[in-house]
Amino acid sequence: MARRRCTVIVGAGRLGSALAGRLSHAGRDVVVVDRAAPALAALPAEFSGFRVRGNAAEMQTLRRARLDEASWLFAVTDRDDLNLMVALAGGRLFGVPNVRVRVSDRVRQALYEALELRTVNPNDLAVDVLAAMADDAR
Amino acid sequence: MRVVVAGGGGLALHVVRRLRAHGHGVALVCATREEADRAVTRFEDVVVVVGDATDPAVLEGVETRAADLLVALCATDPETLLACLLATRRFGVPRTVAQVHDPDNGELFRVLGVGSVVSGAEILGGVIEEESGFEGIATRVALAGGRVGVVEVRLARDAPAVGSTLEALRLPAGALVAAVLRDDAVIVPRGAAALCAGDRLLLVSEASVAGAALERLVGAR
Repeated sequence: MARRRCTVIVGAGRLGSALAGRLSHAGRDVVVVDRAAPALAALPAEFSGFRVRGNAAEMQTLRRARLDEASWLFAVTDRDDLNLMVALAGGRLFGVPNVRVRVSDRVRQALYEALELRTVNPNDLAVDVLAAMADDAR
Repeated sequence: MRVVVAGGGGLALHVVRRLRAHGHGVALVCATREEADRAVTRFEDVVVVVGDATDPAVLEGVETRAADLLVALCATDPETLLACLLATRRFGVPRTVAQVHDPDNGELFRVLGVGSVVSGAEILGGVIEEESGFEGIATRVALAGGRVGVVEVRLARDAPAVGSTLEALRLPAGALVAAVLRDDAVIVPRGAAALCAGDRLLLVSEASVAGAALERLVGAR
């Protein structure tokens, strides 16, 4: 199947909604999934993509988001377990070529590596930046 | 066998009781203090901890590394999946059994090598959510994505259905006793057939009426 170049973002919290706004503004075709209607309604003004309301722990929701046609998937809810499941479904069942998964608790880092998942830990990124600032200021 | 059970609901307690009855060593990881307290009062020889079964430190604490089996019955499917993956990939547990709430998620679990995926709870609807469930249920099979279930149930001496005919039992619409196994005989029952203690019944039913049907047959516990 020919994949559209669409990007699916699961989780419309602070991270997901800001990412959706940025990518949408840059001209990407973006679908945002969240279980909460208020979160979807609060997406930034520059977001012009599709909104799918539903529980991402149900495959039906991911199908509705057309994950089978996506070229990118960002699993960025505030729950590590849900992000992991969504990322695995995206990669292994829907064949999404590019998957990134948000991780908050690094205790499971080794598991993600064993599963060949590419992770982003916002806290670690912030620490890197802050530590670099502290170094510069010394 | 050493078994770690993750989850503290009614189904988990039922599983623990069965495992103990078969002489297996059991550790139970409950999500809440209330669940743990309930389990502790019920089982004297089961290790019970309160914790997140998706946290490697918690699994480590109940010696998951030495377990032969992990049974994951968490509140949500993502938690169940993560607990199973940690057990197999990190702690080298040879077998896992997972209960999925959404039968549609079963495929992902199987693709990832999570041993046995059960959506039987779906079939029995709210029934096994209850404290102790029903006595004498031997096997459960989910069909049509969990909408239809096949249950084998044994009639204890004090079961309400004993001595009654199927006709008189008035099972709910959508439930059918497809066969009666009595001693070595298989009987395809008609309405007038009387049921005996020790009979094993093959109950086929829609998920929504399974609980009501079981209650007529074996009674509420």
